[in-house]
This record gives sequence, C-alpha cells and structure tokens, in this order.
Amino acid sequence: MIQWVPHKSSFKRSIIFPLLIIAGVSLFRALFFQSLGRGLPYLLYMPAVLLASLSAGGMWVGVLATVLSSCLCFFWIQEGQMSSVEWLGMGVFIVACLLLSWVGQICRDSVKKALELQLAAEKTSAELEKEIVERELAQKGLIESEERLERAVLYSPFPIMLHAEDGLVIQISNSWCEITGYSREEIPTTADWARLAYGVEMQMVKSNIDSLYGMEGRRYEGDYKIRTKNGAEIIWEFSSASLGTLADGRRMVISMAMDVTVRRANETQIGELNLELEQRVQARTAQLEAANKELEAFSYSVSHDLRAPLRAIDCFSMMVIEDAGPQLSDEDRRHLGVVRSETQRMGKLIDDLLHFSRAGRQSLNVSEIDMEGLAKKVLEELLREAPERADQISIHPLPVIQGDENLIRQVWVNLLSNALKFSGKVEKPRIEIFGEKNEDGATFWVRDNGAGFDPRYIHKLFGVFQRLHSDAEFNGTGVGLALVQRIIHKPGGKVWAESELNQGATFYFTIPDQIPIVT
Amino acid sequence: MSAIEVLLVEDNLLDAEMTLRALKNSRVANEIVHVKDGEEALNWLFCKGEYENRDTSLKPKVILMDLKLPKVDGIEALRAIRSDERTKRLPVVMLTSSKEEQDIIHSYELGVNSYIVKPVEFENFSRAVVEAGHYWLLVNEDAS
Repeated sequence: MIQWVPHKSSFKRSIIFPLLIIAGVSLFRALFFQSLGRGLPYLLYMPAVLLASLSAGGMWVGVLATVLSSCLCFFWIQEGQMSSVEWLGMGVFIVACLLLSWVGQICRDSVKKALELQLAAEKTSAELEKEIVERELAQKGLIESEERLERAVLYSPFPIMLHAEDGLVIQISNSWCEITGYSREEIPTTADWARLAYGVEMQMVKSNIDSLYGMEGRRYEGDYKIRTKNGAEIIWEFSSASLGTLADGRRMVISMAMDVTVRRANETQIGELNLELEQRVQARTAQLEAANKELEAFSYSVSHDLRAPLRAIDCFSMMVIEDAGPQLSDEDRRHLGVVRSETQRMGKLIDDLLHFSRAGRQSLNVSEIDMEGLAKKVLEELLREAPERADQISIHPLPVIQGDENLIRQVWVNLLSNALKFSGKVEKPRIEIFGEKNEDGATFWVRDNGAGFDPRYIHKLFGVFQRLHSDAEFNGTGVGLALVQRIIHKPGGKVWAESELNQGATFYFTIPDQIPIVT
Repeated sequence: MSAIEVLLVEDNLLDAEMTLRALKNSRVANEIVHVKDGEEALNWLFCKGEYENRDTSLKPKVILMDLKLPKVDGIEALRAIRSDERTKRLPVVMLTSSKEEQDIIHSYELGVNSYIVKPVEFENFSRAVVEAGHYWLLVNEDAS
C-alpha cells in the first residue's frame, strides 16, 4: 500500500518548493505561450498554489505561492493592458488561491490526523496482541507451576499431608500412603487418619492436629508412633507449618514426617551398647583398681618383708666375721664376703624395682622446670664422688619445660650416671648434654664417648633387668633405663638411643608441651 | 632415773638380736626391754596383762619400734602411746623396713620423733641403730 505522508514542513522546504513549482508553471506558460494565448495564467497557477500548499507546508506556503503567482500573472497580463475586469479577475484569483491554500492546509491536517489515528490504532492493536500472548504464557506458567507443586507433594520422598482446619485432607504424598499402607480413600480427613494410625491415642493426636491451625510459622512436633495397615508399628518424626488460608477462608497446614523407625531403633541400641560399655569400663576400672591395690600391697610387702631376711643374712654373715674372725681362713672370709655383697646387690635390686613400680603409679605433679638448672644440680651431686670429671662434661643451653620435677630429676640422674659410668674407662671421656625446643615440646640428649652398646640389642635396652654389659665390666641392676622410659612415656614423651659398640652412645628423650591428664 | 633405757618393740627376732647387739657393742645402752608386738609393748608401758606386776617406776628413755607388728601394729601402738598422759612425752623412734611414703607421713602425723629405714647392709644398719640410740639416750634431754 502506498501511502502519502505529508512531509513535515521545514522553513527551507516551504520556501524552495513553491518557488520551484511556480517557476515550473511559469516556464510551462512561457514555452506554450503561443498556443495558450494570453488567457489562462490563473488556471495554470491555481493548481500550482494548491500543490505547493498540499505538499510543502500548508497555508503559509500557499500564501507565498499565491503572492508569487499573483506577481507572475500580473507580469503575464502586463504584456497587454490591465482592464478593470482583469483587476477584478486578479482579485478573484488571489481569493481563490488563498482558499486553495486553506483547502491545502485542511487536507494536510486531515491526512495527518488520519495517519496519527491509524498509527495509534496500529500501536494499540500490537499492544493488545502482546498482552494476550503474555496472558496466555502466564496462564500456562500458572498451570505448570500448579502441576509442579502438586507433583512435588505427590512424589515427595518424605510423607507430606496438606490439611485444612475442618479436618479435610487436601493432598497427601504417595510416600505417605506407601509407608503406612493406607490409601487416599481411607483417610479423607485427619480424624480418619488419627483413628487408623493412632488407635487409643487418637483423641490426643487429633487435638494436637487441631491445635496446628492456630499457629504461625513452623512447629516441630516430635516423634509419633504410627500403626500401619498391616499392623506394624513405625515411628514418624513430624514437623508442620502454616500455609495461610484457602480461598474460602479455611486455614491450611502442611505436615511433613520423616520415618525414623530404624534410626530410633539404632539409637536405642547405641544407648544400650553405651550403657553396657560403660558398665564394662566400670567393671574393668574396678578390676584395675583392685589390681593396683594388690600391686601396692605387694610392693609394700616386698619393701618390708623381703628386706628383713636380706638384712639378717648380711648382718649374721658379718657377725660370723666379727666373732670368729681369727679362726676363719682367707677363703672363708672371701665366701662370706660374696654372701654379703650378693645380699647387698639383691637389696639394691629390690630398691630399684620398688622405685620403678612406684614411678608408674604415682600421679604427675606438673610444674615448670628449668632443665639446665636441674641437669647442673644433678651433675653436681653425681660428681661429689668424682669431682675431677667435671671438666669432661659440658651442658649446652637447655629449654624450660613442664613436667614432674621429681621424676625428671630421676631421668637426669639415670642418664648422667650411665654416661659417667660407661665413659669412665676411655682415655679422654667426654659427655655433652643438649636440648632444644620444638613444635610440640622439647627434645634433650646426652652424648658420651664411652663403651656404647651393640645396636643389635637395642630392643633390650629399656627392658627391666636387661643389661647389655656384664657386671664385671660395668655394675648395675638394669632398672635405670627402664625407669627412664617409664617416666618419659607417662606424659606421652619418647625415649630412644643411638650407639655403636665402643663408639659412645647418645640417649634422646622428648617432653611434650601438653601433659595429658593421667588418672 | 630409771634403769631401763630402751624399749625395743620388734617381732623379727633376728632384727631384734642385731639391734641389741649393735646397741650393746657400742655401749650406748645396756638396759633394754624387748617385746614382740604392739600389744605387749602397750601392756608393758601401762603395766597391764602379763606386766601387771612389774615395777611401775621403770620408764624407758626411748622406744624403738617396728612398724609392721602382729596384733597391734606400730602405728596403732604409737597412737595409743601419744594419747595417754603417762606416755605421750616419751620419744618414739620408728625403726622399720618400710620406705613407703604413706607410712612415713602417717607416723609423723601421729607424733613420731624419728623415722629410720633399716638399711640392708650390716654396717649401715649398725650405724643407724647406734646413732639413734646415742642421740636419744645421751644427747637428747627428755621431758621427765
């Protein structure tokens, strides 16, 4: 469809276009002057004025064209003589041209208006169409969302029921029916549900359900025992939430359940097992306590009763030596001496063993220990009998630790006396004591250049009464390192040694920062 | 001044013999009464039972007592001695094999004057007994 659309009038256009038309008409008139004769100038200019007014800008362009045309007409007619009739004709022409301009203007305006109306109509219809499409989509979405919601309830893995305050069950999930065995038809109302699932407790449950409609937000309802259709008892853990009101004003609630039958059974079992375990722990603790008491009684009797005969053996051997001195041969004296020294050794063994047993049973008395000061003090005591060895020993800076000072002192006593003992026979004995703080505690080590030990027997090193040297080489009871190990292990520390035979030995021990509570 | 210097309470006859020998050989004490358990010790001190008729003027200058004794043990005997007006000021020395801390603490709580652990070696044992005797009989001034 071809549409004439009036141009928007611009100043340039309103001037140039009438000029061109008038010029065109004038040219035409000039060219065909001969055939047209003198008349007709008006007839030619009138359409030109109308055209200019219509196409270029309405009334004012028409007026301009009229002025121009009038001048030209005057010019054309001037060739002859303007008679009074012709002046009248000219006046009529001008009035007609002005009328035509006005008509042009009106046409322009009408067309414009019509076009505007048409555009508006087109626009409105497009909008309507769009709205209709949108509504259709929304409708479809609504249906889809409703379906989705329905499916969400229907296929929910957890049992779900939507119910209204008049007791009507609005919707129920498949899982609800599948787990309980009741069909939707069997539970049209919450009262039916309460009657089927709760038996004698139905009244209580029904009143619980009815109390839900007044709530706001959510409510955890806890466990309910439910009787299924086939008579089994299951446990559901319920939670409900208010869903507002239906269109008719009834309040609606969603109730969801989780089947916790297996979980509760497991929990009960765990509880029972825990109880049993606790009882067993108590029994074991009691046994342990009894054993500890027995051990204590045993140590007590060892310390008291075992020493008495030893003392008697020693003392009476001595009495023989004192009383029968002159009559005894040297060999007799030596024999009695052996009796005495062995007796004394046994006394020492008993003492060490008691010490060892006591170290394990004592509770820890933890305080801050200046290890450097403690090592120096211990060394001073040990060197009282051999002060000349002080030069062979160097103590490097040692960190401060947390521990039981009495027990840690014993560790230093045993390790340092060992180092002194086993390096006593080399030409240039050398003992060094080191310590350093690390991430979870502190490590200390004592290095000597003495006899060392064969690393093949390292597993025996820390055993009670285990000795890697004969008594003739180095005396001892074999309890010292076992005692060290017991003391270090108690708060969770470690103790180990490195050595080669005749290459000296290094004994390490660690003290953890965190002393575990030992009861 | 009483003639009795030491009341020795000791159930182990060998220990008693060694103690007596050490005290006598060192000439610290000669007048020593030896009883074999706590009950006998208390009877002797309070002139009861088999000692009903003994001379009540006789009082020891020191009691050397073992801890582990039949019938009435050392701790109980000590408690009885300390709670009786007639004997509560008597010096009592525990002479025992027990190094158990609880025994030592208990004895001191009950007012023992000394606590000596019997050494196994003859020399040390003799020295300990003699030094204790020497101190309590010759050095120390008693309350009587």
